[in-house]
Amino acid sequence: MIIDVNSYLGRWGLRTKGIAKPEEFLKVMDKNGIDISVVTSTVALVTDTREGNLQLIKAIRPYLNRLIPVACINPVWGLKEAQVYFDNYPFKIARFSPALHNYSLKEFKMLDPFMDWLREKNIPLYITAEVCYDFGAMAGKMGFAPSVYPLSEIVSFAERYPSQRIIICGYDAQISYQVKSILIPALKEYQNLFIEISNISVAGILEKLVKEAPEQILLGTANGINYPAASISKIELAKLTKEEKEKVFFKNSEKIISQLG
Amino acid sequence: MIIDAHTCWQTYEMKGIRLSEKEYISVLDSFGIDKAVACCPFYLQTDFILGNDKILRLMRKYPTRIIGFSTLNPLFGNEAIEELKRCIGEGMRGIKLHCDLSQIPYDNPLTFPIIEKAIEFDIPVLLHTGEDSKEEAKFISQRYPEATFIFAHIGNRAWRDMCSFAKKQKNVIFCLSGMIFERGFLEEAVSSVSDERVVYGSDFVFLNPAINLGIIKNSSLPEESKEKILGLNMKRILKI
Repeated sequence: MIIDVNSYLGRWGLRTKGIAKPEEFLKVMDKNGIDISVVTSTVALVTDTREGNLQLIKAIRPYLNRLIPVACINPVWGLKEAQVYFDNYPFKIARFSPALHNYSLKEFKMLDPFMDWLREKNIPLYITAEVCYDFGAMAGKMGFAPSVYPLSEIVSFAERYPSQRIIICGYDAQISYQVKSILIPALKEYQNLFIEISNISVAGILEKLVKEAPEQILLGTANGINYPAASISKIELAKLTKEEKEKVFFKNSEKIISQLG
Repeated sequence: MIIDAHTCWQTYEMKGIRLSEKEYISVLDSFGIDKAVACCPFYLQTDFILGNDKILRLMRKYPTRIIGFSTLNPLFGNEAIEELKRCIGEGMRGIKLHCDLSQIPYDNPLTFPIIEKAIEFDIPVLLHTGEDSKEEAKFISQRYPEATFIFAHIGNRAWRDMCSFAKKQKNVIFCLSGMIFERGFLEEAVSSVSDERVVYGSDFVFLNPAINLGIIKNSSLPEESKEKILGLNMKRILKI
């Protein structure tokens, strides 16, 4: 059993073309032995939240038994718009991308109503740390805010909302002191905090995370943009026990998914 | 007649800009802009075809106001060419390329078939030109002297260098859109390439259309030159 908690459906314009058709996406899942994928629209993530979210739902409606949709939310458009995704459409998970949308997770006045609502509805929240390799450099070239969001702010956010399940997406774990002094202590202290591994490429980090927080590490592949085999292989070949690998492959994410409305 | 040679109709999540079709048109109205080139460059990062669909919808709704330019991602090869054919077939009048958003430099061979199609269709190519892409823009305009290139932003901070380059590069048109409002910018552009090869553009929805309207209208250029820059040149280039 494999559950991929972070994948992308839709064309992608940077270096690789993405996967626009759900049928093609499902074939890639099958080829890689992925049973269930949590999918975010590329368009919603980067270009236009509303258009991308609605396009995603339209595309995957026949496949909701295998594809779990994520609604990208830009708080600037207000709570009502976010609520529509969950009241009128079968979205199951919300996603904030503060760097891409140019706000801070410290803007509590703006974010508290969203967090109250997510808690009330028991909706898990993804937070984008980074999209993919070098996306930040492109954003910088265009004069936009850097698209890598600081780990420390995501951790502080999880601390503020202890009953909210928060899944860190795309964090690359490149800086060892961050992993050692911020991420691992946070995972140990806040059971509501999870991390998916799609963008982690440093040797040895995955094992370290699993040993320290075995229930909070989730398989994500960034399928659509990246090879899913890359992340799957990271687990398969990791120096972990069979039980630990199963937790990362599906048991940890199953706990989150089983609670979805 | 005022023709805005460079507008982008798209959501700008990062800055919280989202305009309906009606709101977009009402802004053009409020500035007295008769027609506007519209494209969707931000979709280059994801689904450029979806972006073109948006522009086609806008064109259908406001056929006398909107001049659609097909935004293409050269990464997609033949799919981009097919998309261009579709867009031209549905009435678009030009191409928009943006090397920073697609991350495909203009001197990359993936770009060449698109320019060759532009020549075949006899349509202009609107290029984003910034400091980092000025050399690529020079290259492609020299490689294809029979194509018409509209240099949006005129290289931004590198505008003096671009002015110097374009003096002899007759297939280059300067579009004033962008964030350079430095004194001497307009006069230098006109002096370099003549009033026949400078066009008004705003880069709306990001930037305020009033800025370049004000610069042009308040300049010391002859009225005839202003009229050319504000619309007549674009009318000639687009054959409308």
